Amino acid sequence: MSVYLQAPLAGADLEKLAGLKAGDRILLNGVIYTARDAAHRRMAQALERGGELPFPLKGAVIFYAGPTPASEGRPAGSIGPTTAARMDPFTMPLLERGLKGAIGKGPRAPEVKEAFARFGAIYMVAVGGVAALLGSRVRASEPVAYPELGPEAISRLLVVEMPLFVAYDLQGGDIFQAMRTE
Amino acid sequence: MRTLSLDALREAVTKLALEAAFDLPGDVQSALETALAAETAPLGREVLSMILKNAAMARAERVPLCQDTGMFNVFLELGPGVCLKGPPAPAVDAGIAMATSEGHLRASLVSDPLVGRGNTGDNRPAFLYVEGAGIENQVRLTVMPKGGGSENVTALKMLLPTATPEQLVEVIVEHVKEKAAFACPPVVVGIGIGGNADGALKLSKKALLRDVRKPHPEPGYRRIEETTLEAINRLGIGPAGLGGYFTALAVMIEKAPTHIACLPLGISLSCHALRRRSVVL
Repeated sequence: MSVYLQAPLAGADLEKLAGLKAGDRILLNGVIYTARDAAHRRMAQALERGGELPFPLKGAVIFYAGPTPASEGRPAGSIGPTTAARMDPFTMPLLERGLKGAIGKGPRAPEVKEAFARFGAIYMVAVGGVAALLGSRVRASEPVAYPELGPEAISRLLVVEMPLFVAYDLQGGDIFQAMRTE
Repeated sequence: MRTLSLDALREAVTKLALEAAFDLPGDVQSALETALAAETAPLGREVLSMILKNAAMARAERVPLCQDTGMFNVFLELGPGVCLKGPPAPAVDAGIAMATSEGHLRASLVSDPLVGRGNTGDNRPAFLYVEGAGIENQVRLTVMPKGGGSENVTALKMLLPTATPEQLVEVIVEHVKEKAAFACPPVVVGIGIGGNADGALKLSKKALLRDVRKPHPEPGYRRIEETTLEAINRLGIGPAGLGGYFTALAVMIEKAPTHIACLPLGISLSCHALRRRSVVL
């Protein structure tokens, strides 16, 4: 059984988050944004200067990913999650401004895990190293900001049934702990 | 005496880099299939199925298996009597740059590690290891791209020279327990024992080149590999860290002589997409 979510998260989809459990399968549709290390640093610097972010954060889902360039005739290249913990130092200000979902791989710092629950936001994991498969679920991709960062630029993606797993639910459930103590 | 042209070297590097990016090696594919047949955890099974489906898609459509097309480790073994008409590094770099543009690989390298971190745009430079080794007049070339996430969990431990094999296994298992979830498990664990400090790390990377289905030729080391693998696979981290038996597919050791005061231990983890290709030129 999979739960369908539509990004950006709003209305009924946002309400669904409270009912999710760590380990649940998600099929994500809609519009999401790629941002990884260098883009997070740029966004943090922009916020420190009181500036605007290059995309609307309200209800947004960020995919910690740097895809390969698309081959001719394809909407996107291969895409997959990078280690989410490296984004931990930059995540709190984004949650404060309305970020509702993040996609990465691996566990996060305890305070970041707690912050996702506190802000009613969901951290999901994608399987790492299955980037051809995940890339086939991207139907459109366009650059949004920081093109000079190359693969670390921010892109807007239209995704269809992107397969994900709930890593941290809003009740404190944790896919990484739950699995290990079983 | 035989002369290898730099053009031939460049072309071979391009070909191997592309094959490595698109086509999961047979030994790794087979180890993943064996794992799927034995895995009992539902999420673990689902992840292993996705990994195998992804490998089939990437191979058929000639697209990268992983978006992190990696930093390119290139091992060049020159047999006795082989002559190169100039330094190999520029030819190897040119081969990688060509593969990057032809194969739409991700440009994943920055020229300065600290200040600026500007992308080199074409995956140059490669990380080249040249050795005089092997058979008369023969050249063996291996390309092993490795992702940044798995490189980040590399470790060097300088153990006491009096450490026992059991203690060494414990150190490896503890490291894998802490870091495997960041390196796209099921991982392949490359272990370098002995040498000097940087030598142990290099050995741990070279260990990843061995066929993952083949045990160590020496029985003592074979037992250490088996014990370590069993202990790792009791951790429960599982495929993609989502729970299950297969946290690792293999543990492979390379060793070298060392100093009386030393017992260096290098640990390199590869993600499940252990990509490498070799050719004899």
